[in-house]
Amino acid sequence: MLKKSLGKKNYHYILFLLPSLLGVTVFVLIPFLDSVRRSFCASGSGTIVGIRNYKVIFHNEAFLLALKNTGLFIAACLPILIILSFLVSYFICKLKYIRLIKSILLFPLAIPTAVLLLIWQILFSDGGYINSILLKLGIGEVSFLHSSAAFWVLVGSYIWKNLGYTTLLWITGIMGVSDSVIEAAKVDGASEWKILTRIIIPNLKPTLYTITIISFLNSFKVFREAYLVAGAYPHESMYLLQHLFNNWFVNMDLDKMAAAAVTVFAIIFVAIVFLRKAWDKEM
Amino acid sequence: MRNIRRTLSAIMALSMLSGIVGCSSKADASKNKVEEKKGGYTEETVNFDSKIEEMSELIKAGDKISFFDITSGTKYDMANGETGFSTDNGAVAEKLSNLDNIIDVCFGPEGDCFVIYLDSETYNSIYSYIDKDGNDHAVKCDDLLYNAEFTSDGKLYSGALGTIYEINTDSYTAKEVLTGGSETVGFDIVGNNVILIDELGAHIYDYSSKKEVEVPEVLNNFFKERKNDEYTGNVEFDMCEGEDGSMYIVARDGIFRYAMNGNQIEQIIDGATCCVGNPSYHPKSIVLDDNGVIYVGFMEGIMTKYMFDGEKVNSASKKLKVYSLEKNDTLSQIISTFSAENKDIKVDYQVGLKSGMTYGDAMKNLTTQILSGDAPDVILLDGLDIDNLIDKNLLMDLKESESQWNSSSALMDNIVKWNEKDSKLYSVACKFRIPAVGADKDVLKDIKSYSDIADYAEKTRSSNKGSYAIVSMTEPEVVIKNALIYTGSDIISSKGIDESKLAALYEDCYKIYKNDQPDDEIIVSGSISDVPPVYDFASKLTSAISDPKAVALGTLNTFDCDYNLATSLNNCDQPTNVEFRMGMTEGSKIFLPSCNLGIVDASKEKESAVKFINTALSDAQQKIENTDGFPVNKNALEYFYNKKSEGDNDATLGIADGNGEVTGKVNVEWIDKDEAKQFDEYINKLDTPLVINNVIMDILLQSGKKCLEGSSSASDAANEAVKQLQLKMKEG
Repeated sequence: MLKKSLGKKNYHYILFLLPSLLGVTVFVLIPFLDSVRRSFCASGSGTIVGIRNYKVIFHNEAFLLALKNTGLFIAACLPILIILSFLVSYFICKLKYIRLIKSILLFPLAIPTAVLLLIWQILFSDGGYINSILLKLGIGEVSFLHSSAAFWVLVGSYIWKNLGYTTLLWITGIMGVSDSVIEAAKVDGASEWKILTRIIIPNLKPTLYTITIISFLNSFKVFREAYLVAGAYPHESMYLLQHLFNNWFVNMDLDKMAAAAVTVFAIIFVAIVFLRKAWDKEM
Repeated sequence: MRNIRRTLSAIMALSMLSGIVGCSSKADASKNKVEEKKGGYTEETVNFDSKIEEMSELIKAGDKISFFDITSGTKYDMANGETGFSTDNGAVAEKLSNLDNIIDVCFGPEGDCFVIYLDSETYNSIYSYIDKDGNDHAVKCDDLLYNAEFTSDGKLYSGALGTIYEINTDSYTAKEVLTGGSETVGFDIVGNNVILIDELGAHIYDYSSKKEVEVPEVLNNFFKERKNDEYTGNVEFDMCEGEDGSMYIVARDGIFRYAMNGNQIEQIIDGATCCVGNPSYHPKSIVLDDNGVIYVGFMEGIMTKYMFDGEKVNSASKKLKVYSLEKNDTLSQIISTFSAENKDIKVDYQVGLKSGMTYGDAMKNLTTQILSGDAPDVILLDGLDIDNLIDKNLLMDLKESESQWNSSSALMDNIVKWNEKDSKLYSVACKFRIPAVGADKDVLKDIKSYSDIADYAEKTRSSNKGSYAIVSMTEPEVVIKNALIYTGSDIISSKGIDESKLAALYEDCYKIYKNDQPDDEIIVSGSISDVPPVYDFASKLTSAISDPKAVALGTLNTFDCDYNLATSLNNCDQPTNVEFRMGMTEGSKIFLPSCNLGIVDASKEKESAVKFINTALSDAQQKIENTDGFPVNKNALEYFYNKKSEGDNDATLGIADGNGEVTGKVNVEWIDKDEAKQFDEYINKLDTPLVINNVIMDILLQSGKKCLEGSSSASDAANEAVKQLQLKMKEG
């Protein structure tokens, strides 16, 4: 009887959910399906060309370069950010005035992109602050934005911007671990290391999953800074998938863009499915 | 109760859906259909017995509409009920005809007049009130007055730079009544309101209450928008009083009506469909007679009138979308002519790069339009990546319709059809520019390449310390763009950019930029025409006359502005050895095609689009001279070649020194037959078009600027540009 009643209630809620579902369908699902259709069509005429667009993008040097750079960027950023932010949060949790520190941690997110760009220019341009220090130290100039160093500048920028926020997520997770369990471990003679590895970290797995997904999604947002500092055609090491998509859109290469979008979607989808499955196994 | 709950939830869900359902598909279906309306204004040109050279502002004084031909010194009047203007030979008109250098003149309801003119010797402004009997009274004012107007009850107000003055016609004194900004863009009296428009916006002084009144926001925004519009310039609008205290405004985009204190300004005539929007004419004043007929006077001495016809059917049944990346005068001119010839087609002109937008933004908008099936029909390809558009099959082959736009085969094929690939023609050039070099005869003799000019600049500067510019280029962007005019075809090819040549070019640009910075003054601080500084040749040529060390670099753009001056250097009243050459070297075949028009393959109005191209290349259209380049129609060229015999087309041009002092003059004669022949032979040999799209230009400018500003070496800058371009090419 209770089941039946709940079922009916759900039916009513569906009516309220319908508008947002329709919105997602109209603005996300249908455009995505249209992109899938376009990936099999020629750009100008719209005639069906089979998998030609997919063949083209897998032979397209710019796509392979952007895919490689984006992959490398995520591979470099995610572990650094997750580990660094965890360590910072672990030590912050031991400090007093944690509330004040929490507010300060969000500052990088509050800084407008325009200010950030100015900081980038001041620090990393060829005649910038860091280069002037390097020159004073007798070390030669480094073209941070026009050499392979640009990649690490981008990584650094991402870490700097997201470290505070991610730390905050970790702190919330750490503070959620039951004090009584930790106290009991201490009474049993467990060391700090043991408490960390045996109690705290295992309890933070759900937080880790959330942080991984959020950091992964945030890694795509770094394009804005890269684009505004170095333009549509930056140094090769800074050239990300979003640069390519942006340029393809400007150049009306919609067929290639659609094929690349579907490919990238497939890669991300498969990665998330694998991650989820691996997670479920561990849990 | 359950039913009520269900019904309520269904209604709420449906109401939330309304936003989405409201996006009806009907709007899309009617996109290309032009709404048919009845009633509209018809345009007529007002004829005069003799040609009006320079028309003063049109004034409605009492029951008369009057104006003054400043050049001939003739006053024209038209009383209420009359159909044409007649010359006025009264005492005031006679007094005015004896004055020279008149700046502005206005007439009062009693037949009196106020005139602003310059003293023929000192060039100081003189303000004079002439009563109805022709007696002249000097008006004292320490400020510089520019405009004046009488109110309907005979009071006189004048506008200076950001200030309104009341002029007492008994004591002949001026009293300040309102202060605004520091410049005057417009001045007029509408009803009780004395309106002054300056850089801050509009200011209204109500002379009946003797107070400044608040300007309606809509009116202020209207003037601000038009003042900021590069196309309209600063002063191309005027106001007059309409019926029931309303205001009529003429601007480049049309004629507007505003009911004072209302919140809407209504466009009653679209500028694109009449003379008002024609770039060849500049609307100067507007007046409305007692019968509701609108008269518009133009700087060029023509006048048009607009009468409302309730039965007029706006028969535009088709819509032609014309797109250009940037506002283009030639294109506006073509649209104006095309609209006048094809009343059944409404032209919708879209400019991609609006203020604050980047090339990428504009291209994204264009892509979106094409994707949504709302692509333009005709595209001006200047600045766009033409090869990319061809690769995407977006452009129609114009060869298929050549019989329609080139029926008399009177076009310069080597220029018009420069964009012919694989037997397909993707665009036609409507104008073209020719690179040119001008310098002292001995200097010019040694100039064989752009590097020679850079070396010369360096050598000259090191041996002649001083405050003068050698090639009149002080902005990095202008230096690089100008250098590419001569070297672009060598550096850029379909395979990419030649890095070593680009590095050499940046080095040359650096030398010129470094050596062309005057210490405290610049020889050429402005242009004698509205040609962009990159192309401007005439101004630099006059610099070379006053300073033999100067070199003129730019393009020949028109006969009137450039070529006539270049061929008239012998007519200078001061000794000069300055000569000019078309192309960097003898036999150069480079030209810059401009106003390149293409038709979008997906256009639904191909027939109208072809008609548009036909108008663009027609004899009449090509005979209209503007600074975008020379015509490509042989008949139009022939017309210019023979123009010397068609009356007095000569002009005098003053030559200024580095301090701006006029030191001499050149009698600029229209080209004779030999010069025309020489020009014709030269342009017939042109076969190397130079077209650089905005993406490549941006890359070259960004890297080049670093080199010129000293933050990067020439080779590093060239390397960076090449890498960026390689990345672009990799995108395929």
